[in-house]
Amino acid sequence: MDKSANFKINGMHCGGCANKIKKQITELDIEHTIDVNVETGNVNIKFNSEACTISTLKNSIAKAGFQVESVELD
Amino acid sequence: MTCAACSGIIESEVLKLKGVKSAVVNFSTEKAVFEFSEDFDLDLFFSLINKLGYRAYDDRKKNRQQDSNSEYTFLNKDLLSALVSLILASLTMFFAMVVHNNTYQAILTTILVLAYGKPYFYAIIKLHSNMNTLIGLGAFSSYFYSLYLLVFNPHAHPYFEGAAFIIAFSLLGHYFDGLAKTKARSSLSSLYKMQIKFAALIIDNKEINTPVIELKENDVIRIKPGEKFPLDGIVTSGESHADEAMLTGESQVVSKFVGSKVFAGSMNMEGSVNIKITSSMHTTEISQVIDFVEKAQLKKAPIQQHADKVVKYFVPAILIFSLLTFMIWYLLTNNIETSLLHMIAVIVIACPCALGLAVPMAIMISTSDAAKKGLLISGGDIIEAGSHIDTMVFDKTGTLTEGRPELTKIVLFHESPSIELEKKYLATAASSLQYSSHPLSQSILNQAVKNDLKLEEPDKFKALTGLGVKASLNQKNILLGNIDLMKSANLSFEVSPQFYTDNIGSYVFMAIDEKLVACFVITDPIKKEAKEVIQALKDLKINVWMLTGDNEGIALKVGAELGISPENIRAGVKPVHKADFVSELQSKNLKVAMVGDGINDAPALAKADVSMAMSTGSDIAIEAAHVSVLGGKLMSVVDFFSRSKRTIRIIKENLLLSSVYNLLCIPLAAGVFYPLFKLTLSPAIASLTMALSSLSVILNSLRVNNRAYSQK
Repeated sequence: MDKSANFKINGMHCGGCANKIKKQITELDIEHTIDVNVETGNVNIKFNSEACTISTLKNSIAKAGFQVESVELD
Repeated sequence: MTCAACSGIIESEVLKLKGVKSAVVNFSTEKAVFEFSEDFDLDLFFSLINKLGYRAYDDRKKNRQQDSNSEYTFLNKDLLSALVSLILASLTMFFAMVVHNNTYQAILTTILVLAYGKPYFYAIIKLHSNMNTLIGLGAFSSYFYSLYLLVFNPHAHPYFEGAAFIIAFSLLGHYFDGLAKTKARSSLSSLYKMQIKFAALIIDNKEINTPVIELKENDVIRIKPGEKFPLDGIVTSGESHADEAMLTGESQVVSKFVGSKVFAGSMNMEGSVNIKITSSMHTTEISQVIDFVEKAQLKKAPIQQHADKVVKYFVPAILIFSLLTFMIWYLLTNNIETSLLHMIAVIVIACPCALGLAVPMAIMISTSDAAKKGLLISGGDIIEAGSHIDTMVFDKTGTLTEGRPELTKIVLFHESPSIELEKKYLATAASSLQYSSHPLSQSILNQAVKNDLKLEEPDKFKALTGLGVKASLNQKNILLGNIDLMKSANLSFEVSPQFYTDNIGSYVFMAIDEKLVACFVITDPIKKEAKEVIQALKDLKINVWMLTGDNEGIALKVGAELGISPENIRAGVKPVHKADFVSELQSKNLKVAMVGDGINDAPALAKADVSMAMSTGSDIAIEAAHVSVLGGKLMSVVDFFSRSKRTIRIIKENLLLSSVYNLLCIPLAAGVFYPLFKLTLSPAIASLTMALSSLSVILNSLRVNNRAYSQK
């Protein structure tokens, strides 16, 4: 896994919200690790740049019902 | 309701009920709004209205389409009564003049009085002071005096035909008033007509024709080409265009695809689309517009309060004056009949109605017509305030300009300009900042998409608040942002002052591997009609100011293009200071109107004497502003001011017309001019004159729309 993306997300309230996002990302069926901080609204996803793009991840988060405020890539 | 005094009576009587907090009645729209506590018994209210001699319907449950139908039958009934009573009155006249048979006269008039005299009779015994009271007193005094003559003095000439004609002409006047009022209301009812009844509900891929009233949120319906959208919704499949002119006044069709919002009442053009419903019948955007306009029409202009005051004392004053007339004539001629006829003429000719209608009629016609053109005015008070405005403040972005910044130029610092190089840098910039949501990033991204450039995934990306973005693309370090970002990165670079004067706009500088290579110049295009609007406002003798948060270069350039002089431009103004600027102008005794996009200039809008918000696109959330301009159509701003001035002028004409009428005709009916010109009026002619006078006010009010500012 060569890439790490930090998403700042609006409107997460609790663990339920975090699970929704995790579920959507898991459905992408790619190798990844995900870390959600409900309090700060930060979602960190590590993944392979060959397997997936930022737009795909953004779409999955949108499908879970959340709006991405900003993205950071490392 | 027959005249403005009626609305006053209803207001005061309803307020006496326990649990009623407020009551506003509009005579010209025939609508009333009451606030009451929860335990209030509505039946009590309806029985009170009935007792007062009116009919009331609960507006919260009605189907607006039926409304216009029932109006139609009302009018037919009015026409029928007017015609029947005219025939009866003419027959009475025939018996009076040709056959000289008093008994037949009495019978015919009695039929007429029994058939149509009821509302007038009620007006008298309930001690109302409105137009019907005057008509009733005139008609019944002639009628009973004639009966008295018939029984006790058979050789005298009775005056049955007078009584008959007073009622007949008053009914005829009532019919014409209704007709004109219906025409006046037609703007508003054309909004109602946009609501449709059936739609094709989709269940298991089958279309089922379903009444719109039974549709629920999240139901999916299919709309075929040429059909109207019955409710607000979101397109779930298919593509088409929609004509939203009824909401925004904008004649251009809007493209609709999956995910687009569609609005009830707008017209689907060439494609079939499925939409998921997002509103109920009563929460659609269009019904909010209708509610807004109806509420606005209940708000009285200050000028109306004077008229209302006069109307309140009008009827008692006329009654006293008519008694005086009788006494003076009796003292002078010693003839009861002549004195009585003059007294009746005075009572009948006096018309509080014209006076009461003068203001609300013009306001109603004006606001309804404006709403049809996408200009929502929140009340008569705003129209009056609008007519006094002498200073206009524009918040530049989103009003004079489109509010959608576009990349207009790419400046290269070290290489000679070529299209290939510009495209290369554009692709690099767009790839690096594709995850930034800043509006300037969006305009660079849009331009790249327009040029079909292929974007690459950045390896690293970080947004730096207030500066720009830092990214890494193909092992290169990319910096994109304002001049402060470049300075903070310790680049060796120099931007000549010449650069800033040659290129006016917002700047996004780009450095690749610590070397400044290019600058993207982004400008917000000026709206096409902006220059014309500024000129039109100047023609209306309104002083135009421009405020903006942008830098002075941009502000002065836009100002020069629009013909706003530099001393009327304030650049670099923060949202909070916009409000201070409005107060500063007001402290110089200026009447200030403020136009903004309603998002970041709310405090300044709140300070202004008249605030106007531009809603862009088809987003018609009705703002807290006094005036909302739908579809971002700038010309509507001019329409508002010319409309306010025109409306207030027509109101003044109406007030003059009705005052002159009353001041001239009442003495005429009293016989004041008799000694000089041998001029008097019979009560029947007086009744006809009165009917014409209120009609003239209504017709004059309709002129509000005649010279509406042409929308280009």
